[in-house]
Amino acid sequence: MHKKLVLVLALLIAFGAISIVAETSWAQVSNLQEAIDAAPKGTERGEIDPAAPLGYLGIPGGPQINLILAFIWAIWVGWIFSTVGAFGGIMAGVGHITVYGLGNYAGTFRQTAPTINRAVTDSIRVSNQFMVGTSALISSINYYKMGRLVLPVAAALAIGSIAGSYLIPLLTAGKVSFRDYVGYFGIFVLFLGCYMLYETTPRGAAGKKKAKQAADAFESTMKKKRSGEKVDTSELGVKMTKFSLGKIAFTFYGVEFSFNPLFPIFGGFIIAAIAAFLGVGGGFMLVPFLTSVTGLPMYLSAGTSALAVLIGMITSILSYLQQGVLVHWPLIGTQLVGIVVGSMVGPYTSQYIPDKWLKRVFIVLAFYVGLDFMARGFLGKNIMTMFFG
Amino acid sequence: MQEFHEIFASIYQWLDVMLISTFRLLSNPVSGFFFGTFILSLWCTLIGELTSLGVGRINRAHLKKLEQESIRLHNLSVKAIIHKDKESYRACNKMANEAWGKYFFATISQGAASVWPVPFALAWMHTRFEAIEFELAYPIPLLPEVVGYPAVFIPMYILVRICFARLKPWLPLFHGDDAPKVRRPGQEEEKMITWADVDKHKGLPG
Repeated sequence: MHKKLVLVLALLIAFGAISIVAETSWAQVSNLQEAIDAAPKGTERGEIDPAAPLGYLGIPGGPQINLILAFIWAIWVGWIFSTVGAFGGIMAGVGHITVYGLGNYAGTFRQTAPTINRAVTDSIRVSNQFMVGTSALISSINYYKMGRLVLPVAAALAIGSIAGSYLIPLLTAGKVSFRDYVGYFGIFVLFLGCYMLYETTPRGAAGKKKAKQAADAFESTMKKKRSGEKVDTSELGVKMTKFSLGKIAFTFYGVEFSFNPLFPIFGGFIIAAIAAFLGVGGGFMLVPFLTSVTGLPMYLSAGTSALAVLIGMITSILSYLQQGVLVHWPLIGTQLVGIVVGSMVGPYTSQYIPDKWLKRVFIVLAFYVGLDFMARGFLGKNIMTMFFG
Repeated sequence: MQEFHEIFASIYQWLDVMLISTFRLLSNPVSGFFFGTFILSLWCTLIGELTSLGVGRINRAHLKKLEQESIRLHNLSVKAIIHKDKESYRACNKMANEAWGKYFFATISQGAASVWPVPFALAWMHTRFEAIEFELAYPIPLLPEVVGYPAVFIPMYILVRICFARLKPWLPLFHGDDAPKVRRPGQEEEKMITWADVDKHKGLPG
């Protein structure tokens, strides 16, 4: 069974890769070239100097990507992945938007050559997904092989994922200006910051505390019981008791669960759409969603969500590339190496920083990045100049 | 900085000569291209797998700790459901998922470690084979009639990785317990109780 699944996945990826190549290598390069040709010529802001050395995406005068800086930033991203988790993907995005100078450069073409502005924006979005996505992909395939799938849920999620991942690039590629993108990215980061802050409040922590207490209590009860004690296992596995458009009810080892099948479809759609629009993974939103909506056990939700993320990501990257988005490969490669180094350093350094402090630092960071990006995106000013002139 | 660029340029030059040499081994250019791409895929796979192995060894203790925590909580959730204790199941499952999330993100480094040579290979191929075109013998839906070099490299790389994964048990370095894969259930210190175990034993195993 596993081998067949791997084969299907491999074929899917291979097929995707072929379309990527075919689409990007030729037709789309000419789109950017046309935009470069059409842009006003000169050495001023928002103009293209044909005599200038080729920079990012082969644009004359485009930013020269500093691979050393990219490497150092990626170490930071990898460090976050290994200590805090999903926030690493956000920081990868921050790197693409601000650190390498791509954002400022795209901004200069807002009025004069919007196509170049949008091309750089899309390139940032797809680069984020490539970088975080391919790494997550390898981990996901392992989980996928490990876990059993709950096919109806996986199918519902996958339908939503494909729709979200296909539609968003189709509808937005080449249409989102850099400023809008940064603004929406800011909203997402601010939302994440608020959620992280909520988790630290007594109310937010109560749920987690309660779960921990219940788990501890159950563990101590289990320790008191004799091993191998007989339990009622007359109802093994999953037994579907009701299957309709409005409700799927099933017993799981005799315990009743139910969920609305439309939830995974909409949830998959919304999560995949957000992930594709912002250029993030999406798995970190999918697993908690899946567990809380369907009550699936970890073992099953891991495999099921891995499949949905995998399908969503392939669809999204392909869809972007079909719209003509170009990628700077050495930048992606350098960042992958940086992530590896950062993830190796993380475990050795994070033990000296208490979890509580780590959380506080990232809440402050999320608020700063979120508000700053929103101000840049929607007001055209960065947060420092807004407050301090 | 200047020195760094010079060192970088000479390394790149040396690599370029080494990589292109395999593309010139066969006299027929098409066969040469396919053979060279195969060797390049092999390099990418080997270097990626070795990096992943090294990262796996360095991070082993940390990953094992995270993995054990998620397995412990998952097993508790299985026990809870077997005892028909829905509330405990939900609590344990919530905790298990959180622990699993931490473990998942920690393993991202292994994913990155195993694929990092690929973007560099694509970047290098772009400098050498940007103008190469292959006409498809049979039309494939969604694809244009003419494709470029990655259409050969990426499927070749995936095939090489699949073959490599199958050969792993016989390869020195890669067959041991340290192999950089995420361990499957049954290989951990506290064994993960799978639903298949529960079905087989008609209850909790052991």
